[in-house]
Amino acid sequence: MREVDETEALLRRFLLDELGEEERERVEQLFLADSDYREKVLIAEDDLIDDYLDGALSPADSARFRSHYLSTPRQRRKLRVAKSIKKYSAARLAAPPAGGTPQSGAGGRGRAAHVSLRNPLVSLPLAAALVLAFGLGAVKLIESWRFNRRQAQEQSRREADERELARLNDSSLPASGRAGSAAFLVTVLPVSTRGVAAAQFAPPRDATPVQLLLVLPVDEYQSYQAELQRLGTSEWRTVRRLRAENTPAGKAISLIVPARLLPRGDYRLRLSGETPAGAPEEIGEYTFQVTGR
Amino acid sequence: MPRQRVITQEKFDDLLAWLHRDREQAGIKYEEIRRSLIRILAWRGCSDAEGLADETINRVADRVHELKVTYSGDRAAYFYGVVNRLIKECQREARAQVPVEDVSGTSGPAPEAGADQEDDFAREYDCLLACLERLSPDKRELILAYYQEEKQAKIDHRKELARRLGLDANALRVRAHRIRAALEECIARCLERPEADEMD
Repeated sequence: MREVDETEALLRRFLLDELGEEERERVEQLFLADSDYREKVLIAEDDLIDDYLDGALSPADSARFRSHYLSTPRQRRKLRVAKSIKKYSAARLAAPPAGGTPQSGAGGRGRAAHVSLRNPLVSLPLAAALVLAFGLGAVKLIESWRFNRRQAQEQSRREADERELARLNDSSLPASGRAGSAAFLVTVLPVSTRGVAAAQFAPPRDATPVQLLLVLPVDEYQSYQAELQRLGTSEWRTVRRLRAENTPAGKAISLIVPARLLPRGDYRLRLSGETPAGAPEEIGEYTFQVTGR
Repeated sequence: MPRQRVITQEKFDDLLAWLHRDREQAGIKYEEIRRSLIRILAWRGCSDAEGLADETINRVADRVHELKVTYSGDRAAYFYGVVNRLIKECQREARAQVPVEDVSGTSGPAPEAGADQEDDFAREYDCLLACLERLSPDKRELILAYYQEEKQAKIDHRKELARRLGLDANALRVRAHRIRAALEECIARCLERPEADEMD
């Protein structure tokens, strides 16, 4: 089990509901008032969950964790999420490279030191095992490197797309610095609008960007955030700080998208209002279909 | 316990002004307090932690007019007084309404895993993958590396990871916690969307 200091031990007892009323209230008050302390409690909570998942809690603490900590859906979900992160991590980045972290204890190393490496019955299988371990380690390293490289390339492509989207939709720039009047205009209504089928269009074959005019169900925010997804993929493109405009179709958000980001397919667009604190509040969803170019 | 109606814009504005002179700072403080109230309520075994946190805020908002004149202490401490009373009311009502061994609304052991839970797990896993994708590569690498291994191997592995990143063990824990918190928030948002609205 991981060693825990005095504060951590107190916080662990707090999380397992083992403190008296006075001590518990003191922890809760500090949690509300002091952001450093708040982080300490939340880290102690992460550690408690990890220790539970690793089977590193004492039987009594484990039982207490199940009967008290896991008594609310929110905390059961927190546990499931932690479990998923570990599961994913184990699947994608499984083993340390060959020659990495030793797994055997001091006793094991001590016994090994007494075995003579000059004996071919020991040295040959050992050499074969080392070659095999090195080979497997190298393969895993290469796989891991390829995975990370692919992820980095995808991330950098996504970031480049989002930079371009931000530039095209920067309301502080003059229209000539963005798409200007050369955009291919499509009006899209929210999915909640009765009797309206999803918009369908084929963007022009040249490099003209597409200007989506998203008619607003309500206009209560100073700025908006749009998240665009091509269905069947898990990728979203996000554009922030969009402003509402008066258009012939009513108040609307104008979202300019490079045509190359709109290959044939079905799309979903989520629109959120941005609160003064910068948090998005979802206000509507739009769908449309690109039929070809 | 009677729940209050939705807070009016005027009361909400007054509450923000009471929390901080600067509206942006007030918004941040408000979010911090709300999130903290939700955590406290969940730790105390309240199933509807979000609803009770909002009820706490509504009760404070109702009194802000007089608090502006009469209260000069730490704002968070006032919220704590209100939420603590609310928890006690809740617990009293739960005890009065159902047998102690069956207070399922406020506390009780985790239910057995069933088909619904398996569905939840699968959905959360999909959301996790989508949220991991949204992290920057260095954060994703750190969080995945941090959660490798178990028990003693985990401790050794984290020491090595901290050394590689030039951090002490505690700084690594803080960094991993922040990434995990952001992931959890992203997953919670993902799960709030209707099932048909899955990410892929």
